[in-house]
Amino acid sequence: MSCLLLRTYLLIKVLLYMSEYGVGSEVSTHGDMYSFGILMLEMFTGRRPTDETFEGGQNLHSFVKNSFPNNVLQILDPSLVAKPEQATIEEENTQNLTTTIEKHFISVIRIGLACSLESPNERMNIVDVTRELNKIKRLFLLSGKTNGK
Amino acid sequence: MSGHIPSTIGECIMLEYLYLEGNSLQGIIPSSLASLKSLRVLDMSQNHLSGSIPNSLQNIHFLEYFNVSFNMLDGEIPTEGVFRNASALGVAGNSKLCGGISELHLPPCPVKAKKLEKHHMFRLYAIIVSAVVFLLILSVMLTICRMRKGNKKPSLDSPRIDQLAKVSFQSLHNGTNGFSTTNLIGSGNFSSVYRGTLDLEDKVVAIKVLNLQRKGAHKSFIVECNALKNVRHRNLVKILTCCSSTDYKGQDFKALVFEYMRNGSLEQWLHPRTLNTEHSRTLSLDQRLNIMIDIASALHYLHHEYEQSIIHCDLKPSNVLLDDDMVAHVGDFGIARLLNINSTTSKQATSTGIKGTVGYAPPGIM
Repeated sequence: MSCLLLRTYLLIKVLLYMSEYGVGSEVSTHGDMYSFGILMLEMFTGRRPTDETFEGGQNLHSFVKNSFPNNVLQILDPSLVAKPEQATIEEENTQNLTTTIEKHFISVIRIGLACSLESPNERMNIVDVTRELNKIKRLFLLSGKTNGK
Repeated sequence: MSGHIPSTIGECIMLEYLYLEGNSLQGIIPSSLASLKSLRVLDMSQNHLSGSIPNSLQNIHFLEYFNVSFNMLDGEIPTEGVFRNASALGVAGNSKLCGGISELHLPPCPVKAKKLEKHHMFRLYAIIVSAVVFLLILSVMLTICRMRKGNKKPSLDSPRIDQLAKVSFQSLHNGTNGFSTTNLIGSGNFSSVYRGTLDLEDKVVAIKVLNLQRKGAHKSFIVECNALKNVRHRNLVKILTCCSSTDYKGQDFKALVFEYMRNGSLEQWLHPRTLNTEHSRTLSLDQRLNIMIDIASALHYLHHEYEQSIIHCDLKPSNVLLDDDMVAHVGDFGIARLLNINSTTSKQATSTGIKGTVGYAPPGIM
């Protein structure tokens, strides 16, 4: 009998949780963060989340995650990667440039991945995102200046 | 003696004393023993009997002594009849026996071992079914309550649309050459967007005309008006005015007027091949970083800085517009949600029906 009571109690808890948060129709700031994360990944890989090449349950998040962080350059939008090669800088500098740029890409992609996590509460919040993005931009501007000259 | 106790022993109804102790009897105690109504002494100790003590034995009125010690019996000891008197009982040496009166000092029987009788099972099912039905009704009622609450809000908020300066249908009609397709710059779920000018100024504006035939379009108009009427941020599209009147045919006409964004949507820049526009250039890393920072600060404003928390619910490249200086402005608040910070600490609201876009909406929403 006590077993039955326990089960009923658990059932009540689950149902209350469902009605409270309206499972299936939940709207929260975390939802916007997911869209932001996906947008971020799309921005730097040039791939839509509905890209037809994703198959077998793969999505933009898992596609990027598979190549992160070591093969980030392979999945970037081709128009972004082509740039440092076109620039006619000495070979040493070019290599320096790619590694620093790669670092920026990795930090940017990391934010995109952290925002598009499946579990809403684990997603990065907008306060941290804004702070991180501004930090990356500062570093990017700095490295641009030192490498350019 | 060895072998089983024959169940036909129940036919010896005159039997008063039965001593079977110290043999090698096996098998169970036959329940037919209960028909020996005049039995006074029953001693079956030091055998190899197994199974349980038949409950019916407690109905033998004259039984004064009952001994089954040192067997291999298991199960529950009855508590009535001869079993009420501990001094008349011998049950020692049966490690699996349980229950009985407290004087025997045996462990209580586990609930599982109790055989649930049929009507008990039915009662259990009835309790479970009624509990489930009750909880379902409860959750349905709670959901209805919530939906009502959700529906009330917009109707309270809608009069505030009037605070925006209004513009007539005629001036919008003139400003877009009668909503000609050459001025059409985009169309969404509930609306078409035209490029046009307003009467008094030469300024180019974007006019979002709601397709009121579509279900939900009217609601989306109110939601967007409420979301945008007071927001002020450099990374949000600026609403200039709205129009809520009737067209020349006398039908309802609703439109929102926004600042025009010359560089189109982020969608057109990220995927230029799919749309044959004049934008053939691609965005640099620098520009992309800036656009992401713009979108992030717009979201930061909506979620944390505005008086109410606003959830956009449909953030995607086609809803991010770029102005002359490539500064990003988040637009299209047609399915946005306003959250009252005071009432919801967890910052959540329930939506009713309209969802975001596949690919951009979080898992669980679609």
